[in-house]
Amino acid sequence: MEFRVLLAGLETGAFYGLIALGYFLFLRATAAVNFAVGAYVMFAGMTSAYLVVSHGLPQIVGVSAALLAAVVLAWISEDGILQPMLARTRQEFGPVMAIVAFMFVIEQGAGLIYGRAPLRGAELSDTLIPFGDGWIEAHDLIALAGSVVIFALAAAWLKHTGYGRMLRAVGDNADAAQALGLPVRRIRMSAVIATGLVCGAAGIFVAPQAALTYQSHLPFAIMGFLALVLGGTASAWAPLAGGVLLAMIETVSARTLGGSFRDYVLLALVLVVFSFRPEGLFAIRVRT
Amino acid sequence: MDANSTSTAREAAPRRHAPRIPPLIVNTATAILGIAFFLYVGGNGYRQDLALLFIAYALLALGMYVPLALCGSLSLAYNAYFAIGAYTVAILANHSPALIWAAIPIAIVVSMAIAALLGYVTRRLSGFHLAVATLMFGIAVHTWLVHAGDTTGGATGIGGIPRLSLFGIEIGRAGLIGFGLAIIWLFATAIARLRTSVVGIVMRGQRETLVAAEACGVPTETVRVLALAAGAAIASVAGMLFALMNQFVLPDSFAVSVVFLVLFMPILGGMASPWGSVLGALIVVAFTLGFDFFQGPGSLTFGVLTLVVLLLAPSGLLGWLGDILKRIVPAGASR
Amino acid sequence: MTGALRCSGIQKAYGGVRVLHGIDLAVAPGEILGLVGANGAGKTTLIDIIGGQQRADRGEVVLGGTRLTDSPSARARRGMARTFQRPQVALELSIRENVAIGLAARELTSLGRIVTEAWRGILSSRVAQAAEVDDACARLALTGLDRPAEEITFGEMRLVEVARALMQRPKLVILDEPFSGVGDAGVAGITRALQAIRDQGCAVLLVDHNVDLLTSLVDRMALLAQGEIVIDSDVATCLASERFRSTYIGVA
Repeated sequence: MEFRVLLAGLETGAFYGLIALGYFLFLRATAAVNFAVGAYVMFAGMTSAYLVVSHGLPQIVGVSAALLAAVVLAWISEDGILQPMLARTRQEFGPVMAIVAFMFVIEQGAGLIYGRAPLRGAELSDTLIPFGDGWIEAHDLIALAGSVVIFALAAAWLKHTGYGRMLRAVGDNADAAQALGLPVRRIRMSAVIATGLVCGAAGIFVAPQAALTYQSHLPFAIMGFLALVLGGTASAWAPLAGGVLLAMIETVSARTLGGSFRDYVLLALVLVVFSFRPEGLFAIRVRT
Repeated sequence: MDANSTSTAREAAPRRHAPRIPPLIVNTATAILGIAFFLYVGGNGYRQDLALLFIAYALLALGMYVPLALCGSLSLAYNAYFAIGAYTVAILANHSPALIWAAIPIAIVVSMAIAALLGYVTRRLSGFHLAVATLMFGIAVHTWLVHAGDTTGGATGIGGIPRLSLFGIEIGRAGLIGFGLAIIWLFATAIARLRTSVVGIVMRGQRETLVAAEACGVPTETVRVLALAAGAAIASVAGMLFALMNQFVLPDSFAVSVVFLVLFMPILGGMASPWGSVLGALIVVAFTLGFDFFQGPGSLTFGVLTLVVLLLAPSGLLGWLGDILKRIVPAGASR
Repeated sequence: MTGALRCSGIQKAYGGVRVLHGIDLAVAPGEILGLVGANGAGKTTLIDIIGGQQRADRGEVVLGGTRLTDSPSARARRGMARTFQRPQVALELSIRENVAIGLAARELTSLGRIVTEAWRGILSSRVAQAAEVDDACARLALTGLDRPAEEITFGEMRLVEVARALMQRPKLVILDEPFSGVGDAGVAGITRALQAIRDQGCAVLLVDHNVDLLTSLVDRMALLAQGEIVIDSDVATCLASERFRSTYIGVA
């Protein structure tokens, strides 16, 4: 039985890690913290749940639509909202406000399109694998393995492809990168698309595991951010480490203090982490 | 080396300045509007309900405006400060009605202390960090309201808040509305004055050119914390009035979704003046809360409108009205 | 406490690239030092280190005998003022308001003072017009002080920055390319202002890449090239130096 708990914890950790990876990729590209990634995850999950469960369409349609939706939302955030905002003001609150507003728009949009009732997705595989005196759902294994694969792909992309390697330069100083002749826009778009795919995948993985509502994005966004803060930004694997660590903290606090204390523990965690690593929490400089 | 060259060092920025209307006119006009509004609401129960909501949200919007417009700091803990004001009143009222007056300093001090703490912890971090820290605090407070049944009454809240009496006269809903409108007028006017005063100029300079302000010797961290604390104090006043007006408090009224409604009000109304926040509150309350039909699409519309304003018309509604005014009165007022 | 500035052994590298190799530089009170060097030589980096906006990898900055390790605003309160290579002027505010920030920073030194001043601002609706601000602007040939900074020229922005810096009544002033983009009247104004504060005992560090402009104004010159101070001497000696001429012309 303990293994089930461990597995659940790892899954949650991987889930948080994926969202954190979404933040990470976007951060590398634009030096902005994109709170809307939680909304991409939620919307993608709801899309796949809606199409597959409520309308009986095959999984492949659901998965494709979910990924597409997430990519489109990420693209709008970048090209339609963040870049125009960053171009027009050096002041910080503008982009933050715009991203929060867009996040809200996605929330309300999801509520309108998919309704206010919770939606549960269909598992990617119905198979049950016997284990010990119980069983494990294949979907959970697929989600976990899939997450690890995604991280591996992301790490490889950042290290071995042209665009991936140039991403950091673009995020740190786009003007200089432009002056050096780098195709800034394309590099950014590739990172944005990657963010969309990562978040879409996370949504697909989580949809059967938890009933999603149009307000689910907020806890996703927060946990993803915390996972990033804990793990750091040293490499593409750091968000995963942060996610797993966060899930562990969550589990431990739930067992020792009880479920209702979760929000207090997380708040304390945030304050402690922010206080004792005031500079260089991010290896990448966030626009200040 | 040509000082007469009109080439400026930045790309075309949107015009930031609403025409400067002399403060006396603004103050008189808004006072008159406030009185007219009060008379319009009168004894009509439905209008009173809306007016009470408007008052609470207008004050919340003003509370958000102070750190945002003056210092460029986005704090998202407003549902928490709102709750602190309201629940302090509720809890004290249930001990003894006379203690309600004590709620004023207590709630204000607690809110300011928390805002200062959150601001202090994130003082050298980015605005995103402040947003997250304050959001998490708001969530934690709402959770606490629901779970800490002994203190907060849990999900059923606390009721039985009596009407206040002043000089033996009981202050009813109409009285509270009048009082609330007067408070809004006072705060908005004070903020407008602060904005153009020495401290306000320093804050606005810091908001736009932080590095330069620091290099001048401005204690930017202290100034920022102060702005955050002031905003929190105003929001707690909103909470106090809210509790007195409804005579009960429920956790539902203090969920984080409140923050997202309030967030848009200063933007929509216009950031050049605190009255923009009041106007924004009026619009949002009238449309989302006044008309059930607009429940879903209404909120969505506001999100979209906010984006439109941010991207295309950053001066908000007041700025747009000001543009129209400028065309009618081309001479404009001097700064 | 004087504004005597002394940098010793300043080193700075970015991502493996050494920008400053071990800078020793000193400016005495009542002296104007002109620091020249080509674009990208590291002048602004050095200024950022002195001002506190960046940290040196090695070396120390000493002001008036005290080693500096604190924040830019703390250094400003010790009497340091500076301008920026790209003018940092609040576009939303008027010229007068921008310059007034320098004055306000002098006054708002503690929480108590900020709160008191905020109350005064709320209670009295008239913005205090400091004659000092108007004077400083007039001396720099800045006019139309009520214009929003959004509408002024690049050269005028430079003048605003200089005026703002002077408002702080500093003991050490560091100017990063204050003359570029500024008209003749402005150049004359800045020159006069600098000479005036120099005569009052202020130390002035002037960075520019236009040697001709500096020679009539400064007392000493230093050349920063390849991350090192190559020459550091009085004007005549610098101009006569073969090394100076070849290095400068070589990189200009």
